[in-house]
Amino acid sequence: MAIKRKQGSANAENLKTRDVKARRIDEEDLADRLSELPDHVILHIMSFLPIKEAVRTCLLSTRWKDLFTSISNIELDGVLRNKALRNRFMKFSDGFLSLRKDISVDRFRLCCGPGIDHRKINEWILYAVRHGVRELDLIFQSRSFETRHFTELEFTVFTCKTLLTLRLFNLPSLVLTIPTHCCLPKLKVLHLTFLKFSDDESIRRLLSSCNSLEELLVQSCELSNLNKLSVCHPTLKRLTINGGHIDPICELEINTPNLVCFDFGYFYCEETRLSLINLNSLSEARIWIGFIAKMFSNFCNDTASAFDLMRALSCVQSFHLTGICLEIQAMLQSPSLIPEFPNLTSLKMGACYAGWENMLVRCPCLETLAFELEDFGPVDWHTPKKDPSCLQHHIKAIKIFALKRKHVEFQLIGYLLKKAGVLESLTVEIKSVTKREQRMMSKNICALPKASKKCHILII
Amino acid sequence: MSEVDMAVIKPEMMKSYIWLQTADGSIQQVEQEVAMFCPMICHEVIQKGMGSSKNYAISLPQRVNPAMLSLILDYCRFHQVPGRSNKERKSFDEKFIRMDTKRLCELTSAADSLQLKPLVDLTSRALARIIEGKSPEEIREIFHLPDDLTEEEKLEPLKNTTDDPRIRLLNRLYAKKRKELKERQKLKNIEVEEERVDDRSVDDLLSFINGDNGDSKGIKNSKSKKKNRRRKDQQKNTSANEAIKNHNKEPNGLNQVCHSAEVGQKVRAGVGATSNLHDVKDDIFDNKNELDDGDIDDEIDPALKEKIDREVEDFARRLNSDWPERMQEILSFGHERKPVHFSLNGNGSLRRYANSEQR
Repeated sequence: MAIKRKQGSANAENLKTRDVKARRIDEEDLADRLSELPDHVILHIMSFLPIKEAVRTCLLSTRWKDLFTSISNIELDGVLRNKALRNRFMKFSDGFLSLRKDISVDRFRLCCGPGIDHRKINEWILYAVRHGVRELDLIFQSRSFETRHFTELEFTVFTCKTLLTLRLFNLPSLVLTIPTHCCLPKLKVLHLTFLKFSDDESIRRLLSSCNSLEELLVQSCELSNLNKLSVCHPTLKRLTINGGHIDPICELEINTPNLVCFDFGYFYCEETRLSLINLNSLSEARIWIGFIAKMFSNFCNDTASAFDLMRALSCVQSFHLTGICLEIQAMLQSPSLIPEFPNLTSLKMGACYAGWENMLVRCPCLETLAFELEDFGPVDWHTPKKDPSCLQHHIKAIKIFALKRKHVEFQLIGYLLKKAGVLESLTVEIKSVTKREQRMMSKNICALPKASKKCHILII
Repeated sequence: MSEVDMAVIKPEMMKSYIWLQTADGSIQQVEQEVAMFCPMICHEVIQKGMGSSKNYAISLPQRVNPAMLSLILDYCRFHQVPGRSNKERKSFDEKFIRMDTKRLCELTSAADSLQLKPLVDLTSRALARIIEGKSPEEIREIFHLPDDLTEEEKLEPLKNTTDDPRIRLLNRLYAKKRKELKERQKLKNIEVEEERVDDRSVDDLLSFINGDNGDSKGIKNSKSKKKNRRRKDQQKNTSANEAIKNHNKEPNGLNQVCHSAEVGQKVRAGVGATSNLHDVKDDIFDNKNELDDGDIDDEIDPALKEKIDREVEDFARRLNSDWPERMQEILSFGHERKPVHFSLNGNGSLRRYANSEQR
């Protein structure tokens, strides 16, 4: 009996020490490591949360109670379906900004849909500007916003000395008038999307006031009342002018010696004057020039501007030439007019009826070739008379996009495979066909004779 | 050994190592290019010339323990190789980040102290993903956060973020009533003052006998607190009318309480200025942020308020318990304390008696 009891007590002892150990480990596991992190790290984590959740962290514990007042990355999304939600949004935004500490704002993004009180919008943006905002994103998605509601705003935003990045996204109903004292000395990135400018002066003032500009994006803007759009920034590295209409009589002047990336897409009209000066640093260009199909008869005559365009871009390393207008078409068909592209290693072409092989002849160092077959081509296939040397000796990768059932496309691939001497990979994207057809096409493609032994074909 | 390791093995002469020492004293040597990926180490090497030998090992910040250092070096070893594609790096990051939350927090801390921003970003995003979409209770459970906010503190900002229309309506109602009550209180104060004076004189006499002057004030406030506490214990959604009713009872109640209540030995000093209104306010969320009506009622320091609440709760509890035991308890307190005691008369009403008296 006594022995048993002793054993029993010994067991109890063991259990006790085991329990104690387990408890100690548990304590370790249950330690609150998250709150131990320094304030700036916790705020960094909160910057990745939607703002409502970031504010709600004040309910977690005393450590977290006031942290939300130091949030510097403010994103308010006011595109809401019904009035109740909108009221709550407005109250939340007001409340949050009033509770927030009086510290600077890093990033302020405001998305406003219809029904948000424009006076509040003004107040919130003013708050951001007064607190030294560095990155400002304004997205207005409502036809109900009127120009007169935001005149005061225009004044404060366009004279903000701390702004590094400004992105404006608007419906064309708002006509922006840039104040005469427009001054954005530190601005590096400017994105203007769906905006309408009242006149030449406005946009000229805006652009000339940003002397440190490195990136400019003008996308789908209403430039139809502009006579001249001039981009002459010595610091500019990336330029995108895309979409929308440029008035036929508009003159485009681009003089940017340090430009590295040029993305240009618009509807060309024969009266448009495009002058690209001084693009020596250019390394990447994406050109999409559609055409206004009303002047068919004249198309052969004026290849001069197309030539100027191509010549200005001839130093690039990467070139996307899609959406080719008739002028460029014409140029491509006369090989002597095409300038040499000595540095070009990557070329993407699309919507080209004929003359693509002439382009290839001008790119001796080409390594990657891509075809966007959306609107490709000649009705009949014509085998090129002269095989481009880059195809035989240089090209390592070919990508075909949007292959359909067309026979001429298939022959193109056949030709490429036959001639590409050092080809390493061929990627083909097949679209709008049934699974069965896709399988058959893949089989046919893989069965084509290949000049290069190491060629690897990938069908997606 | 992995491919990378193979590539890294070179003749001793060509390889440079950096010596690192963690807070626990252990020293290790790490390939130079790997260690230099950390800005903090880079700074120590370049600016201060440290790390070249075992004796001059770089002391790493305390937040970097050996386990975390090992993880960080793995990260650096992968990313410092220049030829990797973005896809590869992303894939590595995704696998790297899979660990329990405790280690994730430790890693964030360690990476921050070494100023390794890409890793801090990676871990912060991972932690944010864990936090996102969860309720405060869930977050507390996952990260073992202490639940140390009082009910009021929890409710205050809750008003901001959820904006429940019922709560807002309630607030507006309470705020309106609050205003009214304040006005009434101003009128009542005069009456209360007079009553207080009456009682005080009696108390003064008694306390003079007992040798203590501060009690009387405390008694009054504790009584009023008790009354409000009762109100607080009622359902939060009690209509404001009832609140007014209770408040109106107060002046009379005070008299009753004087005679029927039992007093604890605690001396409540300095809360004489507290108006009853603040307890009504306590039922409602304190309007720190003026969202709804712009009322600023923040007159009591929250810490003090908490203390008062606890005392009142304590008092109410004791009041409700059996009074003979209470009497025993009170009597057992020594001569240091000089409470004024009450005893139950034959007819059910309490009367006061001095310390020295026995039941």
